[in-house]
Formats: sequence, C-alpha cells, structure tokens
Amino acid sequence: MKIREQGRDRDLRIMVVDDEEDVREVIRLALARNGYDVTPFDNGADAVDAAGSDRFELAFVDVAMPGMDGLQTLQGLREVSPDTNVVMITAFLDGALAPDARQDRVQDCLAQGARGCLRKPFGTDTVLKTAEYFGR
Amino acid sequence: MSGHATSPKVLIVDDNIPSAKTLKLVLAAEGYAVDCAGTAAEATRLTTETVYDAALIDITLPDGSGIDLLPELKRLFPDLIAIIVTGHASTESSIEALNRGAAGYVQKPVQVQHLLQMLKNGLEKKRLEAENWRMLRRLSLLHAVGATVGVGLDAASTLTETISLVVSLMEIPAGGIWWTVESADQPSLAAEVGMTDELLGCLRARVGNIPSELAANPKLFNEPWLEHEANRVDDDDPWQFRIMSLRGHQGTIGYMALGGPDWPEDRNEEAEVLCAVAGQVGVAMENMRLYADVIDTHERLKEAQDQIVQNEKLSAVGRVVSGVAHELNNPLMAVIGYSELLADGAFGEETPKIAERVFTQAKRCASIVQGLLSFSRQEEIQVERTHINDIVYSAIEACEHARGDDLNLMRDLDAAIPEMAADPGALQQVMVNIINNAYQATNGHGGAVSVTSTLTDERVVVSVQDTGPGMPDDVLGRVFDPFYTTKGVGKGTGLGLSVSHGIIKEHGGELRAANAPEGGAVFTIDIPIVAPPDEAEVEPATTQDAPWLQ
Repeated sequence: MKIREQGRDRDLRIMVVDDEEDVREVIRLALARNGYDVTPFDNGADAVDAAGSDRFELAFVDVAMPGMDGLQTLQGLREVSPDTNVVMITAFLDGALAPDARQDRVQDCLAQGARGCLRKPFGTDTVLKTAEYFGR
Repeated sequence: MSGHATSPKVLIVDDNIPSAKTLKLVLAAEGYAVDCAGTAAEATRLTTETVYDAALIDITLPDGSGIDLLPELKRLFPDLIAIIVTGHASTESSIEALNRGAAGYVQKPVQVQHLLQMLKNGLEKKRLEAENWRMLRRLSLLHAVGATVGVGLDAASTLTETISLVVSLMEIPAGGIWWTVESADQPSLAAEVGMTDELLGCLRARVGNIPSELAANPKLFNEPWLEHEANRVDDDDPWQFRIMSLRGHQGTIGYMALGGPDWPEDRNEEAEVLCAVAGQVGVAMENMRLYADVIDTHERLKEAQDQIVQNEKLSAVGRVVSGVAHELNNPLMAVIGYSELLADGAFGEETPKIAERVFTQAKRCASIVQGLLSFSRQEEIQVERTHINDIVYSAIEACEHARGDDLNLMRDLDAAIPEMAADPGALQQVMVNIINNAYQATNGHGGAVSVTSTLTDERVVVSVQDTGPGMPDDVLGRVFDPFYTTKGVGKGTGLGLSVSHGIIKEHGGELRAANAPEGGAVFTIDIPIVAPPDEAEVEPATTQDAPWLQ
C-alpha cells in the first residue's frame, strides 16, 4: 500500500512500448496496480507520437520490434521529449553471450541516452523498483 | 701393443746359438729389435710378453718341428711375418711351410741380403695391408655415417645408429653423443652405446665443463679432441676416452665421446677422420633440430587452426543459444509476471482468462524447446512409398486455417510424377512451413500464392511462390540460418526453414530461396526421385493410435 501511495504522490507518467502483448500487459498491470499512470504502445511510432504531445517521465522500450525498432524509438523519444527517461527492455542475452552484434543493440541504446536496460524475464518487483527509482 | 713408429720386432727361433747370435747382430744393425729363443716352448713363452712383427723359425727344433710351431704363432699373431729357415732344402717341407702361413723360407747357410730383403718385403706388405685396412675403415665410416645422418630425421634413432656405426667401425668399445644446445653446462644425452651409468655420469660432467675449460685455455680449440679418464665402479682401471665437439653452422651444438678400457694408439691417426665424422654428425644434428622446429611450428599452427574452427563452432552454438534465449525470455516474462500478479489477486473475475494466457505462453516455451529438438535431430528420415502430390495436398489443407480470405491459392501439380521413396511426414513439415511463410509474406494484402510440382530429369521440383514484397539480399543470405527470423517477436522461432533445409538435404535434394523476377519470394524444393521399395515394408508395431506416447 505504501508503494501505491508513493506512486500516486509522484504522479509519474509511464509508457510501455513492446510488440509482445503479454509482456506489455504484465508491465502495465504491475505499474497500474501501484498507482502509476501507464500507457501501453505496441509499436515505436505511436509511442513517439504520443511523447510529442503528452508528458512522460519514464518509457520502457523493447529493443527488438518490427517496424521502428528500439533504437529508432529511443532516438525519436530523445528528440521529441528529451526529459523522458528511457529504459530498454530486451529478451536478448547480454553482449558477452550474444555472438551476433546485430542482435544486441543495447550498447548502442545506452550510448545514445537510454538510462538502463532490463533483461527479460524480469519480475514485477523489478518494474516497480525502476519506476520508483525514476520517480524520486 | 705394437707401436708403429718403433723398431720392428723379430723373434729368432733356433737351437743353434752361435748362428742365432750372428743373425741377431746383423738384424740389430739393420734397426730391428731382436729376441732369440732356443726351443719352441721358449718361443711360445716369449710371445706372451712381446708382440712380434716377424719370426725366423728353424725347421728343426729340440722340442719339435718349426713347421708345427708356425700355425701356433700365426694363430696368436695373424699378421706375423714368419720365415722358415731350413738346413736341407726339401721341396715338400717348403710347400708345407708356405701352406701353414709362412711368408717364405731361406736355406742355410743363410744369405743375409736375401733374408733382409725378404723381411723388408714382408714388413712392407704388412704395413700396406694395415694402411689399406685403415683407409678402408675411414672410407666406410665416412660413407656409413653420411648415409645414416643424411636420411634420418628422427634424432634419437639416427644418432643411436650413428654412434653404433662409429664404435663398431673404429673397433672402440663405447661411445656417446650429448646435446649442449639447450644448455652448455647441462648436456643432455642423445645416444650411447657400450656405456655404463658411471661412465655416462663422469663423461656428462666433463662435457658440461668443457666451455669453461676452453675459456680458460683457448689453445684447446686447436686440439682434435680432449682426453678423458672415466672411472667405473667395478673396475680400478679408468677407461680412456676422446671427446670431440660436434659443430653445426652456429657453433658447437654437442659432443661425441669414444673410448674403452684403453685407447688404441693407432686410432690417433684417425683423429682427422673422426673429427670429420663429428662435423657430419654436428650438421646433421642441427638439421634434425631445424626439422623438429618445423614440425613443432606446424603442430602449433594446426592447433591454432583447430582453435579457430572450434571458435567458429562456439560462435554458431552461441547464436543458437542466444536465439533460444530470446525466444524463451518473452513468454517466460509473461508467465512470471502474470503468475506474480495472479498470486497477488490482481485479476478478480479475470483470473481464468489470465491463467489461460499463462498456459498459452508456457506452451509457447514448450514448442520452442520442441523446435530446438527437431532442429538438432540426428535420426535419419523414414522413407516409405509415397506420392509427392499427396503430400502437397495435405500440406495445403493443414495450412488452410492460416490463409486469409482475400488470398488466392493456385496449384498446378504434375500428374506424371511417379510414386517415390521419401519421408511423407518430414516433407509435409517442410511444405507446411513454406506455405505458411508464403501466406504470412502476403500479410493480409490479398494477392496470391501458387504451388506447383513438376517432373524433370528424374527429379521432382515443388515451388511455392507468393506475391509479397520478396526478400532483401541480407535476408536472402541468412534465411536458412537457425533462429534467424524477420517475423515479430513471438511470431516465429527462426527454426522452420533451417529444419526444412536439413530435411530436404537428407532426401538428397536442395531447398532454395530466391526472389521471382516478377516480384515475390519463391521457395523451391528439388529432390531426386528414388524408386520406392517393391514390397510394402511390414509396419513395425507402434502405438500410432496413441501419439502422445511417441
């Protein structure tokens, strides 16, 4: 209950961008249940559009998406809303285990202003911890 | 032992003392060292003390015949120049003497000039024979060592053979070769023959000390060899050795020691040839080392190459692993997250719906694992009598649910295709894969997919063409790579075409991907027609009606 109160107090607006419906839904629910204002997007273009008109303090953005991928979405968000904290989420292994550099674009994202990266599968506690961190 | 440079030794065996003394004086004046014996027995005794070059033997002795003494002396000294002195010329006894090894005979009264000439000739012949033998020995040594070290590249066996040759041709009891390349003061034994542990230990210590000896006394460089006495535990008298350096192009690389209970002085004449042999061995040893280096380098290169191949394999494995991880992590994320939220009582009436989603995502994980298994499957295809068009029909049927309402399916199947031996289940899996891909490529934009089968030159070709956008070059190049997928997350494992490719290869055929000139992608299965078995094989007893048991 305490977390929920804190969340409300912070009035943190969060977007979740992932083409995988259930991943999107798990993150959205975990946050919404704790009082955060969450908007889900199933593609990067819609997310960038929304960030141009609305205020978002935090964005969870999947790295591998059809159409506009994670890196392009990050670049778009940085452009239209530089204050939005972007946290990448990815199902890929980290660089050391991913021999194909094309698959792991997380490093590029971090170099271009992403605030961090969460490796799937992660639990709802990790989602909340992250929201709390950027809500402070 | 007989010294070469000393006076030739002559034994006079004659019971006529005045005659013997006269002869002794004459011979001594000519530079011979002379002993006299009055009887055969005395002669035999004297020969145990002195080695004679020549003997003048009276045919009649108080204790026997000179003719009988002759073979005994010849047995002891095969090189002995024996001259029979006879008072009464008898052709018979002269021939007998010559048969028994006499160099000649003279008649009493002895004509001194004649006798001297005979002695001189005999000794010269003996000298020439010895010289001849030495030359022959040198030649054979050089030739044999050259032949041995010239062809051998395995150091250990070649050097052992070489030292054995030197020792046997030089008639020396023992020999050894040491390397000093690794460490000049810690020589390592390369080969030995006739040595004992004590001798080897003693020689090794000396060999290790040679560099400092040479440093202290550079004159030693001019010596053909160094002398060395080596003690043996079971023998008070030390063995005598000569140690020669083995020189390669880069200086001394080792030493060779030869020796025995005593050192035969006449071998000193062989110093030059032994040093030549040492030089030959030195160069050969150096070549062997270079060869060993080449082998070693080759081995290391091969290891490095193996490592590269292994790394390539690891990278392929890594790609598979990261592909699997990616495919599994998304559904796992949903399973974990929903489960947590369910446990939290987040859904109320929605709970059954969310539980269904957890179930679906968990099944997705299972099917990825299944796909991985079929990807790694090693078992051979199960061929049976089958018709390719039947397989195409059933594949189309299996895909029907995935075909959009606005998508046209055209098929043109060649009725001339005969029955053949193939794995219908595996081929259907391939065709379902390709047809589904074609449906997805058109992606709800209508259009058409055409499936054709044709018979050409004992081959059957099935192609599936769509009116989608086709594939960019980079996709075309990787389309059969395991876990490569262009579909959105969760839409494909990236294993389908990779597995299909394997199945077609197992049929001896080819699965090709291309862009059609008129646009769209075209996948072609091209397999040789294998005649079906004449008799229908007996169905093995399986639980076909209980597929979950298989």
